[in-house]
Amino acid sequence: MNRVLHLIRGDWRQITRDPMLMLTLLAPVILFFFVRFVTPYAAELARVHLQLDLTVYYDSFLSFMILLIPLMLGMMSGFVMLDERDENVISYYAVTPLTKQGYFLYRLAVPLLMSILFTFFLLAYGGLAPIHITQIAILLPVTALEAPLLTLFLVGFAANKVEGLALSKAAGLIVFAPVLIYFLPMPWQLFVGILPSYWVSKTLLVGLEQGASASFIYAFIGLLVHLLVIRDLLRRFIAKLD
Amino acid sequence: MIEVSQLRFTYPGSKEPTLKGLNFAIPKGEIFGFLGPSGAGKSTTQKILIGILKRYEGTVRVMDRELRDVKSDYFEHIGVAFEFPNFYHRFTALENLSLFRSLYHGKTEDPLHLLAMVGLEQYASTKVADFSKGMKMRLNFCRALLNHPSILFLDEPTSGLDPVNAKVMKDLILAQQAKGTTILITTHNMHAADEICNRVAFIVDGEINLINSPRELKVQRGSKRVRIEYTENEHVHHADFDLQQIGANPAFLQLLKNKPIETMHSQEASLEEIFIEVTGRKLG
Repeated sequence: MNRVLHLIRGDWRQITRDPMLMLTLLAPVILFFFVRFVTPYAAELARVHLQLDLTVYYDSFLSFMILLIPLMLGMMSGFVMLDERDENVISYYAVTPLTKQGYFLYRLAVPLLMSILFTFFLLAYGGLAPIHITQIAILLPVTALEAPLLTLFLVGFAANKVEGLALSKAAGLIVFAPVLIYFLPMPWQLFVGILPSYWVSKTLLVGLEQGASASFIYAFIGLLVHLLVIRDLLRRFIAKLD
Repeated sequence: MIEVSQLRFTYPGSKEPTLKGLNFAIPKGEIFGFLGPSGAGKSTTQKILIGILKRYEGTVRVMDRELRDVKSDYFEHIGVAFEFPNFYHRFTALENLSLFRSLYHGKTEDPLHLLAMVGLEQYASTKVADFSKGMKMRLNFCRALLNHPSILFLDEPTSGLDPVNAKVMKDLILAQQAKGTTILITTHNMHAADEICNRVAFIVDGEINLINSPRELKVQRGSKRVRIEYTENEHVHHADFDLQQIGANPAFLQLLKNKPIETMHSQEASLEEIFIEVTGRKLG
């Protein structure tokens, strides 16, 4: 446990000395306040001045926002790992009692756990849509897994931090593509299901429309898709590291 | 301390084995050098010995345990300094050492004490990014000692160091040996190996061609002669004499008595020459 605390302290040091990482870490907090306070205010303005009811789009809006948290946190961990690979620190961790496996576990668990925390706050206290606690519980695992998946996507395909920055933009598109495409009718939209993020948004929307039990199947498939992709990306990264 | 027999290793996807049956044993407290050109199998051997490549054939026993089966606690007992120092550049020397120190469960050394030992105490709060190569190498050495290792693995410990820093590093290594630490060095620098290793192994194409102490090798393989350089009529001349019965060699004694001597060198072979002779390869 002491070891993990030291690693966290080291990470904190690393993040506070890099403005980009700091901003990425703050992003979920900013996002929360945006959803909680700015969105209702904007909706109110639109209602009064434009006679426009934006609240009907709250569900879709939330299905976007929920993906942003693991995207940001996953990227952050990915950037730290790219730095550590560039500086060859990973090969050093591999010859300490932490071991390479322990290092990976730590680097993937941190964004996962933070995503769970922030996503919970967003869903429970974001205030855009009333979401039952069961629904949140169904959503959290599949949503949070998006974070380590993005971490691995970044480190598996980027050769260095500069490439990582470019890839993070591409990752942003991949994450949001399904959200745009799920306006396709069933069963066509299932094709988008090869993109893991589709299942996160789908689970949320089905849950809001038809209740938690109806969304369970989507969360379950989503979980499998995420785990499969994570497994492949992890293999890819480890092969690249040796 | 270390016993290796019939060690073979083939990288996944490669047809040729990288190591083709190595046999050697290293007793406690010895400084053992692996010498060979790059690609000979030095670093593969080192990777196996430090426990990160486990799919080898043959037996590799370190501290009486088969390495294939050791768990993470093995790393509590070894210290590794890679050729290229790898640190968090945005962290200070002390922050780096403290972070890595926290990874060990066993007894560890105070980082400030280690920094003082290598003459870096006044740079404890300097960021590693501002360190020179020599300072990074010394910091690298410090880190390998954090956990009081029984075995120290050093990869090219003097590479890229100026003569002063190289001497500092050699003294540090010898000081560790005096404490009873077993030390494995991989290098292609014959000169450094000659100075500090008790024994060296020549490794080429995944095979060990020869293991012996540098002194033995040089004496055995060199010609047992001495070359004398002297001046005569303002020109430098040289003469060679057999070492056998040299005290009774009248020509030799005459020369010593009558000519101004400039240099005298026994003609033992250098490690570099022996390496080329034994392996048919140049280093580098």
